[in-house]
Amino acid sequence: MVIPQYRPLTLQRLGETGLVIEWSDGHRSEYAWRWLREHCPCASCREHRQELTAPTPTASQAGQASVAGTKISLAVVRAGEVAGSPYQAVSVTPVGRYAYKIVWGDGHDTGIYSFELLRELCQCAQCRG
Amino acid sequence: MSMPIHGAAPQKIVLPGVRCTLAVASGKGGVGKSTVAVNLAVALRRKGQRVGLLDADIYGPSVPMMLGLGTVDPRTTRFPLEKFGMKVMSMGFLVPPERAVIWRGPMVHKAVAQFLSDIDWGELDYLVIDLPPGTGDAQLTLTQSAPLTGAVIVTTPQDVSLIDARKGLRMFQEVRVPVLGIVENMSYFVCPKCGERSEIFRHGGGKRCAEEIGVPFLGAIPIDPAVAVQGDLGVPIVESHPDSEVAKIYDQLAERVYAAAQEVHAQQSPLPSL
Repeated sequence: MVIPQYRPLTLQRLGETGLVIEWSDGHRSEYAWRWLREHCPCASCREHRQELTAPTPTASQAGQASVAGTKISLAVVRAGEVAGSPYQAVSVTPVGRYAYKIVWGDGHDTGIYSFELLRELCQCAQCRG
Repeated sequence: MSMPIHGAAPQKIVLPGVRCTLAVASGKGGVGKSTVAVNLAVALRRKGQRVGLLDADIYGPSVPMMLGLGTVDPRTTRFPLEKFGMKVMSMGFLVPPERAVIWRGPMVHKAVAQFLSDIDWGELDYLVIDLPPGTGDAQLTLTQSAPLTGAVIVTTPQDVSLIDARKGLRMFQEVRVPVLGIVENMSYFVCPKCGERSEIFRHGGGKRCAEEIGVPFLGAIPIDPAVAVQGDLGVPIVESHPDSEVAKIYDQLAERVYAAAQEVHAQQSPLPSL
């Protein structure tokens, strides 16, 4: 039987700014909300990051697509995004048995953070080396 | 970093009254997955368990025919239906067999999610879910929306089926659903006249695959024409011929699945949330 080695035991808010996860293998992970949002694994955020780090990016190319030779912006801002904060988590809820979904203050909720990704993103002193 | 699995599913508490949720899966189609799922479900019910059977194969639902059920009027019918003492839901209750479901993935996701969360399954010991072959939308929805207890992988003995069985296994590992074990279907044929055993599609592949990956081998089910006949007649062999050799093998399979599911269930607890 393939039983995963570690799973989250507790989730806690670290004041206003971050998240603490205690894992079943004894590890204690710390994250700033901003750091988690900046590493959102959803398809649109990953694409946006790739555009930003492309070899010859220009600011005007980010979030744009070409239609009949004309660049158009694909960035659509929803009403909630204007009012809420992208760096505040409203909720963190399990997805199946392998991941968490974070709903952000601006309404963004498409990122599924697998346990492996959360461990990779851990910002505790030990993990940062 | 492992390859990300895309597409957020709304997480709500689904199946609150269901103790164990079992996915019956295969990498490849045509390995007899629905036959195994249906007979396993009946065998679990015969052990005194309260059982539901969810046919998650939206494009090719086989469960209605195997249970002697057909299309119903959804405006006047309450789901799930009941048959052989089990609660049953399938796309085949909504779409006549001669009509094809031609849907893109998001619609499949929606249908499976609705079957899980909008249908009152009530109190069940086991919900057996017959998955379509492969690692697509139905599988992803299920692993993201339902707290699966474990998965049973069905394969046939030949390499072409085993290759795909490994892919199915890999998917469940990625989403941390415990694989309870591998079942080898169409494993051998016993001649009804002379009693000679023939291993038509080779033999032992399922067991080797299970050993390689380190999951239990749950059993080998022979090819028995009566199984197919009973499937087409709408009465699973475990129900119609409970004393037959194949039914006894299914009883053993149910016993092993039951034990493995109990063990896993005892170790699983709900994940915390914020």
